[in-house]
Amino acid sequence: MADLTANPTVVNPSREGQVDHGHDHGHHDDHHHEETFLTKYIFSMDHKMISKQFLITGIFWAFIGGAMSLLFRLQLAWPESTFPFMETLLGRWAEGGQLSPDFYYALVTIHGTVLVFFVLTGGLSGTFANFLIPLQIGARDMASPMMNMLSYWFFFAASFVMFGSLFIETGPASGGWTAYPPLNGMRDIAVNKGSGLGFDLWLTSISLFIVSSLLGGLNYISTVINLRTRGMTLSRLPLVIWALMFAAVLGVLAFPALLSAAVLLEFDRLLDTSFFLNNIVINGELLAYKGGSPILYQHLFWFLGHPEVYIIIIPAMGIVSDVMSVHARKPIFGYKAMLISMLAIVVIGFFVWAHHMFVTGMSPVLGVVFAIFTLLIAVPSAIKTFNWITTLWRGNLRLTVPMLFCIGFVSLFITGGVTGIFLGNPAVDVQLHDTYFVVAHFHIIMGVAAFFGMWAGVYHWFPKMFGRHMNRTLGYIHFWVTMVSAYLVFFPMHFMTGFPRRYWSFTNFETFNTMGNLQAIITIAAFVVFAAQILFLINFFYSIFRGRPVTEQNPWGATTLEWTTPIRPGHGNWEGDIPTVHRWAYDYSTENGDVGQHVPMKEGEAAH
Amino acid sequence: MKDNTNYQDQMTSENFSGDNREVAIRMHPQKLAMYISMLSMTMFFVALTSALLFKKGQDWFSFAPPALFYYSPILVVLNSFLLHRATKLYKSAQFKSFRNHLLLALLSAVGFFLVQWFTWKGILDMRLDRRVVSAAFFYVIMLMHALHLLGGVSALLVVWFKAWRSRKDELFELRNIINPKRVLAIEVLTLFWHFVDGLWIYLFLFIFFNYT
Repeated sequence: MADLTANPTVVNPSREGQVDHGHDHGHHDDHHHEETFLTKYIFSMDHKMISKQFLITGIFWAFIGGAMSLLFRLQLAWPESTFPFMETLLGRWAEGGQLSPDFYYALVTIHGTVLVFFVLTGGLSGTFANFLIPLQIGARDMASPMMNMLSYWFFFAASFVMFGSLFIETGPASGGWTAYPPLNGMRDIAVNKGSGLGFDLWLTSISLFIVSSLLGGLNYISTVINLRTRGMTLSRLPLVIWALMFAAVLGVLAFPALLSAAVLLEFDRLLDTSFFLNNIVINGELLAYKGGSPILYQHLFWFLGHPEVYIIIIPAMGIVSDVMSVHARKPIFGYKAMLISMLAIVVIGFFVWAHHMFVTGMSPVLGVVFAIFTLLIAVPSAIKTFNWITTLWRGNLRLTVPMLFCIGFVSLFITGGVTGIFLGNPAVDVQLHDTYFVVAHFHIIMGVAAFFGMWAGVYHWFPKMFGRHMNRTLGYIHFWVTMVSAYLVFFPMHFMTGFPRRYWSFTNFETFNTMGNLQAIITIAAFVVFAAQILFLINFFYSIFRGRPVTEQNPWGATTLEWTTPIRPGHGNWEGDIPTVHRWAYDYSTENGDVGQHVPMKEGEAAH
Repeated sequence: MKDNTNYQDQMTSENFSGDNREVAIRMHPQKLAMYISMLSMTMFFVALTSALLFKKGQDWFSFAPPALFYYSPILVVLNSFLLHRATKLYKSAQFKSFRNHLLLALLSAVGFFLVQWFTWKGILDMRLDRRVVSAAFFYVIMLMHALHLLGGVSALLVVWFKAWRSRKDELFELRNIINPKRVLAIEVLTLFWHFVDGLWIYLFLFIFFNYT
């Protein structure tokens, strides 16, 4: 660990109760046991290091997934053109410089898979649950540090298998991130190249990822429930901790359904059972599969698939709530309402999965039931949005980079949420299903919005993670370019109603030949977004090693416990006793100034 | 700063007494994690059995499992009883009986595996096409339960082996009885076995009512 000699004490005297051990703490580890490179950076059981491992792996996958989207966006914008670099990069998957349809589908499939699972679940929850839970609840580490380490290594194994699948002869999985049978239920590569070994590897990878998520989730929940420091009652927990715990609960209850679907699908593929297959005809020949139901797979898949949306967005909501409160210098508006809203989303989220299946021929009555539950989710979502806006209202806003990402999140959440109301209605969804309208909706609300939550978290907690600041100017450029360009990518897609998703080319259809320019604009904007992320990448890694050192123990003036640890906390987080908590996490701009959670109540002072 | 092992000891010995912790559910977090993982495993089997019910609502071929299948619940009940007794014996420092109960529990688990194996073979002998969905579900449910059981057998084997190896070292045994980490390990193991045993009762009844 780099030697940071600064030993700052309380910088803002109006901020009471700063704990005075704001010095580099890494050397303390050496007093008691020698850590090798392997035990400190690779097979670490320190929750903070594990969180960084999740973050950096997530960033790696975000760039792989993002780069894939650029390749298929080029194809969509200029379907008749050739790009020689593609042949250099992809070989026979892009002969003559044009993406082959097979590989186009593979790119779309892997893009969706890694962004949903590896980046916005592993990268987001894995990073912030690991980093924040022990630090904010006042614990030395997770309930089971060993299980925590295993959680990362299962994630790594999942990543390794998925990455390996990109290089096999028949190519990676290409039947869509939802992996629907019958297309994915057979290993016949004559039907679809990506249904062969590539898909077996996909299933293996996702199964490993599920194990990783479950191990992580068990740890997060049991740590929050039983490892809180004295005084940290449930009602004093920061909202981000509630959010991370709710996401973990969702994962623990919903991922097993996906695992069961994966097991049954692999049985169909390897052992010729017929769970999901029935009366398949290939090249005029009727195969022997009999009695299965592909719709059954969809039920199992979406029982996880929809809660997965909340597994992604709820942690982002939590991060935004807390970061926004810090930078608005105001208590979060409606703490209890925020909490109940999240709980409502979690509970209702289990009863809406079939809104992804309105066009499978389900009974209209059943469709209406699922539609009612789906539209009900708009209520807690609207409460949360209202509360974010009222937190900003008349706040002493500090328009820092994390704050801008929080505000951007709210904007995206509203835009994406409104279109969700259209899609939740079966009568409208039948028209819009599998069109670019859907692509626009989910990219804005669970793609870009979740990324904004993640960036808000990265920029806000970077000083605690690495003991250095990120470059502000690069951060502002990152925000503004991403904000404008991401809208430019996805907003126009709302007007491409009727355009089917997943088409390699639209040139054969006169109806769809009218929006070539729009496709080109979207692609150019996508390249700009990607360029802004390269800027972020440079800023992130440069700042880890060369960023401005943190000299204040609590640079943002936050009230939560993680800022009472030394600037670079060692394993165990606090040097002496863990602080006791005396108040909630949002005592900003009170008559006593901004007061940390560990500061005792004054006589006559009323709790919030 | 203490290393991680020390934190674990600290967690086990004092911090979960609740004196300097906010504890929503008064139990060790690792035990709590086992309860939560039981919920997760339950969801897995609920998904599998719900899938079966979904399929059964469309078309279904019923068949009676071999007679041996009906003995399987007896073995899991016996297994749970033996492990329950073993935990009590350990806590009351009756180590010899503890070891014997562990061994008997292991044998009952092996017996259960054998019953499952011959049940499986019996169904194979019926020469049902593997594409008959009801037969395929039968196999998958048994296999998935057996995989869970295998984890329990491995852990049980480790605990029994440690107990057997230290059978002549009374001091070691006395040290262990006051070691809360060891008590916790045995309690968590027993809990897991109660779960997989109970799970089989559910699966057995489910199969009984849906197949026969």
